[in-house]
Amino acid sequence: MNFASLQFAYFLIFGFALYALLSKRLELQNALLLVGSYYFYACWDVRFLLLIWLITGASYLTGRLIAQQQDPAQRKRSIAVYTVFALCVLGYFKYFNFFIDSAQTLLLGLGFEVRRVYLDIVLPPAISFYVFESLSYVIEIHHRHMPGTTKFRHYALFIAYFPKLVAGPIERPAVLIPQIEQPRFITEENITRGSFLILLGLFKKIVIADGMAPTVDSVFNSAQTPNAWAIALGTYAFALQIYCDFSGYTDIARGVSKLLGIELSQNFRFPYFSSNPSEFWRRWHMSLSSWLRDYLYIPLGGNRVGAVRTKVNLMLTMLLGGLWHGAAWNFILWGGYQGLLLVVNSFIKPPVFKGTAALVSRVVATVVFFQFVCYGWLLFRANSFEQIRNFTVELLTLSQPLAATVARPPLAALLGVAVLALYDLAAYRSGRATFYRDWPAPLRAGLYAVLVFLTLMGLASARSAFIYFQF
Amino acid sequence: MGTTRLKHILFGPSARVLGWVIVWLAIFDLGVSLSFGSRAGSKTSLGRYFEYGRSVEGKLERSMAADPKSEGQILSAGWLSQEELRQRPSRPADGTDLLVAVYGQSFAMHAAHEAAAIDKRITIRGIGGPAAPPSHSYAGYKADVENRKADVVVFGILSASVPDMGSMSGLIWHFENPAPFTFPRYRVQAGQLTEEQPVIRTEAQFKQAFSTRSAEWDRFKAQLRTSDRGYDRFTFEQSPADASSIVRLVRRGWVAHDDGYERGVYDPQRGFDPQSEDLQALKAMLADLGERTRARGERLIVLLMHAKGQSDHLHAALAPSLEQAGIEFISTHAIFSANDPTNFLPDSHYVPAVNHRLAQALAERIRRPAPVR
Repeated sequence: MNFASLQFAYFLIFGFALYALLSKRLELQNALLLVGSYYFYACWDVRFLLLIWLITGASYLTGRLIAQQQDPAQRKRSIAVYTVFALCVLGYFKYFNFFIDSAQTLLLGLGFEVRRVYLDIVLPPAISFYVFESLSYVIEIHHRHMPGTTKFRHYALFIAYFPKLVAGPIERPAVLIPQIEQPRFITEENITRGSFLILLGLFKKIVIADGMAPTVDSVFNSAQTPNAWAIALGTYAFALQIYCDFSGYTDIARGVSKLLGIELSQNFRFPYFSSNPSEFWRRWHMSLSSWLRDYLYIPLGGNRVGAVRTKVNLMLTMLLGGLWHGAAWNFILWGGYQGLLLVVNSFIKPPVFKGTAALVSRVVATVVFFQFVCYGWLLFRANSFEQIRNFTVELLTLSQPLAATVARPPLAALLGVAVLALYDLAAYRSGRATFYRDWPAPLRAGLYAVLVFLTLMGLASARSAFIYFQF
Repeated sequence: MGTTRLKHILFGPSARVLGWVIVWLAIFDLGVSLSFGSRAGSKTSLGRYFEYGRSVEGKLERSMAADPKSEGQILSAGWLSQEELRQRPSRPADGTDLLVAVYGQSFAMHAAHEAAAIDKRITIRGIGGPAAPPSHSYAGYKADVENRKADVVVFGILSASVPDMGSMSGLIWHFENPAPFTFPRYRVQAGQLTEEQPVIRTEAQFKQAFSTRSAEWDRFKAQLRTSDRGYDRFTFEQSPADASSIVRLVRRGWVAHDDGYERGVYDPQRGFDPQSEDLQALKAMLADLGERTRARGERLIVLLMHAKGQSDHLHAALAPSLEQAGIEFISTHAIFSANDPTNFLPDSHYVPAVNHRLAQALAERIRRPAPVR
């Protein structure tokens, strides 16, 4: 069930009405959310309910076991067993064919005769998200950062909670489980803020992300290598598409959850206003980057193990972050590129300016760094290594005449980009996500009306699925 | 509910903001109407953009009121009347040696005319309708038989038009520019291909029924309601709400996101469902066409043409049954990739270079001796 669909609208309206009727009856509300979440997941593919139940049951039992174990060595053994199990499940469904294919290619390259073998494995939606959440649950109990939850139904809801189930944010158990256990209330504040987030998310997805899709496809699905200007325009369009697609999804998820009285984590905070890679990763897909930091980078030693090891840890974390996005070499290359940016950045000491000079240097650094971010998106979006090579060569050599041979985005998308840029800039400068509430009612309503009108214009165009569903 | 709470809901800050949103939207609506509502304004690209969502009946009314000489009208296209069919060439023109009868839509006609430009000894007799589905082409072949004896029959199938076999008229699936021509709905029932004829079958009949909104028009709409998979009262029927640009945007979005024709027939990832009603009917049609042409001593060539992004899906769905029936075919997937957007014009047709390659393949196939069956 896609957030940007009528089916979801019916699901939400009907579900919210029932939820409101069950006000002050927490366990019934939780039961409704759990059944609704499983129904939501089953709409993607009913077969994978068994998988989510398997992960839920196994991690819950491991958590109970670790909570009871006093001996750290025993706890480590338990956590190791569950981690291996979870990664095997993830590896089988998401990476099996990739590794087999890569091994076969390597063997063929070395001159060995091998028969190509593929298993017909369907990737279960959201598997990376709920496997990571189950891992953080057992790890947090192991570190005694939280007690194991005693109610299985609460834990099951933590894993399956539908607003964040399919494309995140990756929620921490210590943040979400207490909210599941506490009474919740439907308030005017929740409804107004939740509705605004849903509207903003739909606007980003339908108007900008979907609007940019034909431009991006006209460049990256082209059989010939386009000229450098077209490649640049296609890549900028993809930077907008992926940001609005993913942050739009998160906004809708947070908005829907807000209606239900549950706060989900922020996943994006103006990432394209970053002036260096470490700032970018504090602003982009924050729930994944903090997960990788806390459960991979820091256990590897983080930055407490000497300069060289720190760089190696950074690179390893980003390579695995790239692999998390999908079983393909270009994602690994993208991860490696991001790691390289972080390593290079760690050697740079930015000059200290004050006043206007500081502002100018910040703007220049942001614009320059955005070009590096976009080249990363080119690696991410490219269909093959050959395309990456051809596009890079064309960008460097400008061998073809410069002409904008790309599909033009619709008017709604162009207007939408301008509106979003102004909105993000205002929010960034005010430092408050709800800055617009200080505006007088007519002005505030004007913003909502613009978003509604542009969304209606965007709806008149073709649809597309959320990009992050594939991860 | 207490009076204070009721007052808060009705007149509180949220209600005030909501009221202002409605005022703003009304202003936008009025602004669009004032900017693009005039005759000159509605001819600009932005004006047309906001016009597209008018109901089918609303658009038809405007089309009929417009001057057919100065404005691109497609009211007359696609009708399968004998009067229309008799106007096409019935034998090879002077200096040519082959009459090639083509049934399809613009894609098939472009390829055929380009093939005739490559091989100047070919005379084309084209029968088609705007984006016509195979059911229109099949009905066209049957209606046209008595008017000619073709050497070669080219039957063009556009992959994107196959799901439109669930329709009986170009009014609905051709929503942005409704073309009223009609054609039968075919189904396979008890192993036999059945035909349901539309209530309205000629342009004159249509104009009379629609302009007077006669009982026949109501009967036609009732037939569409039951026999056209894409019929929807909200998008079809004219109402005062047509005057609102916001309602028009909603209607256009509603149509853009409705996959009424494709549901169960075509999936962008998996391609055509061979068990679907339309695929079954299409296979039966092609088998019947193979027999009819064979009986008349005509040579049949089927053009399998893939629309943008549809890979080789049509070929995958039809090639085995065409081979089994011994019917010659050309599939565009072997000539160019439908997944490469640079092969398509913004209006979704093939770019001239690609069309030329398809035409070359067609011209070459027409001249190649027919395989022995």
